[in-house]
Amino acid sequence: MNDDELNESERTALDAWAPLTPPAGFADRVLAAREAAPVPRRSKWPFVAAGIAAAAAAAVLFLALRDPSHAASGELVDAPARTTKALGDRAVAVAEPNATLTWRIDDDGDAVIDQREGDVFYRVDRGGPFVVHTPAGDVHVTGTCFRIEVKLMNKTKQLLLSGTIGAAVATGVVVTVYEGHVIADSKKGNRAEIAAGNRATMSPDGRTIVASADTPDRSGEAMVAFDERTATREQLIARANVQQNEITKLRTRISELENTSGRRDHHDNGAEEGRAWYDPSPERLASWVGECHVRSDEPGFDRWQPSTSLGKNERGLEPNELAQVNAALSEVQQQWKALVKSLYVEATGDATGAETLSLEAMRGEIEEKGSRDEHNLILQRIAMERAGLAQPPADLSKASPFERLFRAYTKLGDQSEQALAKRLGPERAKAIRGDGWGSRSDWSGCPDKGE
Amino acid sequence: MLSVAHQQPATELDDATLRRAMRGDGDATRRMVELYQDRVFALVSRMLSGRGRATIEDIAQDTFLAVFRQLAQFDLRGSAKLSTWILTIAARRAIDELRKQRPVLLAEPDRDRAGESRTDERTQRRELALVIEAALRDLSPELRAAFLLREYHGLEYAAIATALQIDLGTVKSRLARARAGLRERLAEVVTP
Repeated sequence: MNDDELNESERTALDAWAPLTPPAGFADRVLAAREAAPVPRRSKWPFVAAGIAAAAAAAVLFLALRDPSHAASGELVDAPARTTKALGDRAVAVAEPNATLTWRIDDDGDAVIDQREGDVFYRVDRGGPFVVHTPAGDVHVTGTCFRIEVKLMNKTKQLLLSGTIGAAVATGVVVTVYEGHVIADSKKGNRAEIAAGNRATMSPDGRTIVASADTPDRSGEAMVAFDERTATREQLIARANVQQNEITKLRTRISELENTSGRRDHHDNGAEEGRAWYDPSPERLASWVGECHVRSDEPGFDRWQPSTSLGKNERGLEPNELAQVNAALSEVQQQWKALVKSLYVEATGDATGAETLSLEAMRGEIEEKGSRDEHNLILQRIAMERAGLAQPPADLSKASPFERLFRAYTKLGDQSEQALAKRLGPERAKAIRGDGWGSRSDWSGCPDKGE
Repeated sequence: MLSVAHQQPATELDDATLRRAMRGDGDATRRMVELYQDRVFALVSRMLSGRGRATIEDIAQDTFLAVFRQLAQFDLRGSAKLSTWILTIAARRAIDELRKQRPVLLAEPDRDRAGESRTDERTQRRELALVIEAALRDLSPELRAAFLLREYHGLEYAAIATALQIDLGTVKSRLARARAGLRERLAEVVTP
């Protein structure tokens, strides 16, 4: 207990401020509201990383791929070149070379970013809390465009302004706001609201925030700033145009970088030349080890049902092949269901639930049993195994239910193709799988360093 | 000597009910709302003091809807109590609401009249309430949340720091400042 804690009489005084109490029937009202907007169970693995989004088109995917599950996390360490990352589905970050950041977005869209180094431009949609932790303090965002530069400072202009002359070389932070506003909250408790067109410097010791109105022109990155509540339609259109131009420029720039380096970034949803999406080259697999990146496809067994007609027939099935495909995929789905059930019972001891819960719900329960670190460790192992740098475990019986589940999940694509091959032959099975089954996933995320 | 055991009302949802709620069981979910609604209302109404009952009810409801959405993420084996987790969500919702709207000015306590009416206990408590409201009015949304979570809901400093994503040392130092401010104001109205 601290010396400054309130004493008994002061605590008694606090009781004088009576709170409101819930109205009668409040629980009914909440439950009715829940029914009106059903709560989606998590349909993604907890560590679905921003790697799902293609770097080359992240700005566009950010707008286009709005998945019902907002959860995402990821890491960018010492960016080798300007890199665009989708931070969940409400923000995009453009990191300059050498920037390092990690991000975690929960299912509700609340975001925590940790920017340890470098220069990063952020575009954030309005929503819940979005906080960027930096070495000198935090930046709280509601919806805006801004840039954070974490830089070594020693008697720089900003520090001279702040009166911190003579400070040792340390990491200070410059926040520049192009649109909306942010709140800079230094680690020593100083706080400043920074509006569009302004910038502020948080000194390395966190004692000082120096704001100035001279936002430097950053090669066309400046956004049209105004108060959305009073903006005219023309202003909104003008801003949209500016933002669209910005996105186009970012995409062009990334394409140039890709062409220069002679390869497509692996985060691109497209496959490598001459290879199916699910079948990365050995070189690509080797490059994924550093990010603990794993890719897999499957037919979407959580909800898959046998087809009664060819429908759009996007896989080019012959009429007589439909029954064979249904039989093959049903077989694999049944095996998958049986595995999920058994692992669910093993993980939770809830045999009754295994008979009533959906496949998706059981999968969610199993994944809850594992920590994020365990998830990332499994990703690292599989990435190394796929790159030929490690042997898959000969005996998985001692592995956690989650590891066994995840490993089995990442093999469902091949397993489905093999089941089909037994019926239609390997060539036809491969052709039907095509570029990959309908449900495709990319995961990335390494264990914390030091583990 | 025999002691008489008094059955205390449960302050946390039991594990079995919580697991059922995590699976979407309606009865368990209702039990959860009924058990925590008073605490959520207490926090939200003090956070949003002066905003009006409708807003407070909306934020309290929004809190529970967020709880439902995120419940699968609650770590049953972790050290955090469910109440702490729910209050954290409520605090964040209230902070968001405070940022969206312009501050509402509260009535300053009329100190002269307050001095005359100290014989009336009810009036004195009302006066005290206004003083406390006024003291908290000047705090930032995060600090207000920190103060309420600590002083009215008994959260540990570390839990508050985690909940509000504020450095632990900052939480302590800012709360110390807030308490000092509150003491000054209380000293003006509390009879020694």
